Amino acid sequence: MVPPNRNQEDNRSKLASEDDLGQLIRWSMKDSISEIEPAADVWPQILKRVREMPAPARPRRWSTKIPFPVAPFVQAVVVSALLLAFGLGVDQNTIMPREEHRIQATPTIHRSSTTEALDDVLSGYKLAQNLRELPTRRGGNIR
Amino acid sequence: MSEDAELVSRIRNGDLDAFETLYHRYKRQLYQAALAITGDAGSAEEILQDCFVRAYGAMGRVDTSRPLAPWLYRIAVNLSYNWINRHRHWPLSFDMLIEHLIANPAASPEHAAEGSEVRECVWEAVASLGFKQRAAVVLFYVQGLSLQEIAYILDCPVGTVKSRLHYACKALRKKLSEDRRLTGEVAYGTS
Repeated sequence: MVPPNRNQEDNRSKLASEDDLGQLIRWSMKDSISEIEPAADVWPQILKRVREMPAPARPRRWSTKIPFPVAPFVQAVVVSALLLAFGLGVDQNTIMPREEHRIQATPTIHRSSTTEALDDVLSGYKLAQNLRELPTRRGGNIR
Repeated sequence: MSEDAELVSRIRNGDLDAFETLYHRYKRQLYQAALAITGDAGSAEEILQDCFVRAYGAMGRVDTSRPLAPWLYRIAVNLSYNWINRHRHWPLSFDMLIEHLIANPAASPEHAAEGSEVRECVWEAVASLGFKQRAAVVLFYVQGLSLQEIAYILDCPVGTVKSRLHYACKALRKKLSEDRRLTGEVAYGTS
C-alpha cells in the first residue's frame, strides 16, 4: 500500500477541518432555527395583497416558442425588401440619362509639375540665348 | 406531472387554495433562509410575504418542468439582498434574536450557556461575511442545497459557488479562531 504523501494528508486535514466547520455551522445555525416558523398573520397579508392582483396568466405559447423557424423567414423578408428597393430605385433614367439631361464636360488644363519643369527648361534656354547675344571682349575689338 | 407543477397549474386558473398549499409547503425553509441571511425576524417575514406575492405575479412565466424550490429561493435571496443593501448593518435586535434562537430548555444550564455562546460566535462570524459568501454558506450548510441549486439561485457558475464557500470557510475559521469566547476545542483552523 502506498503511503499518502504530504499534500494528500494536508488535503484530508483541510477537508476534515471544513467538515468540522460545516458541522459547527449546521449545529449553530440550522439547529437553532429549524423549529422556527413565520408568524401566522403572514399568510392573510399575502392573501390580501394577492386578491388585489390580477390572476396570473398562463404562458402564451407564441411568445415563448414559435412553431416555425424564424431566422430563414427574416432573412427572406430582408433580401426581398432589398431587391424590391433596388428594382424600384433603378430604372433606365438612372443608369443611362437622356441626352438633354447629360452634362457636357468641359476640358480643363491643370498645371502639373511636368509643365512647370518644361517652363524651367525653356527659361534656361532663353537665358542662354540672351547671353550669347551680349557683346564679348576679344582683344579690345570693341567698336 | 409533479405536485408543484399541478399546484402551479391550479394557481394559474385562479385557485387560491392551491396557492395556500404552496405557501405552507415552502414557508418554513424560505423564512429560515431569509432569517439566516438577514438576521432579523421581522424582515424575514416581510421578505417571505414579498416573495410569495412576487411568485404569484410571475406564476404565468414559471417553468413547471423544473423544480419550484430553487426558483422560490432565488426570489427570497434577491429580496434579502435588497434588504441587506438598505440596511448595511445587523439589526439592533440581533442579541435578542440570538438569545431567542439558541435557548434550549432541555440542556443543563451550564451546557446551555456554553452552547449559546458558541452559537452566538458562529452567528456573528457568519454575519461578518459579505452577502454573497453569507448566502452561499446559508444555502449550503443551513438549507442543505446542492451546489447546482445554489449556482442557479445566486445566478453564477458552480465554480464560483465553490470558491465563495472556500473563502467563506477560510474567513469563518480565522474569525472563530480569534474569538476569545471560544475554547480551544471549538476553535477551528488554528493549525
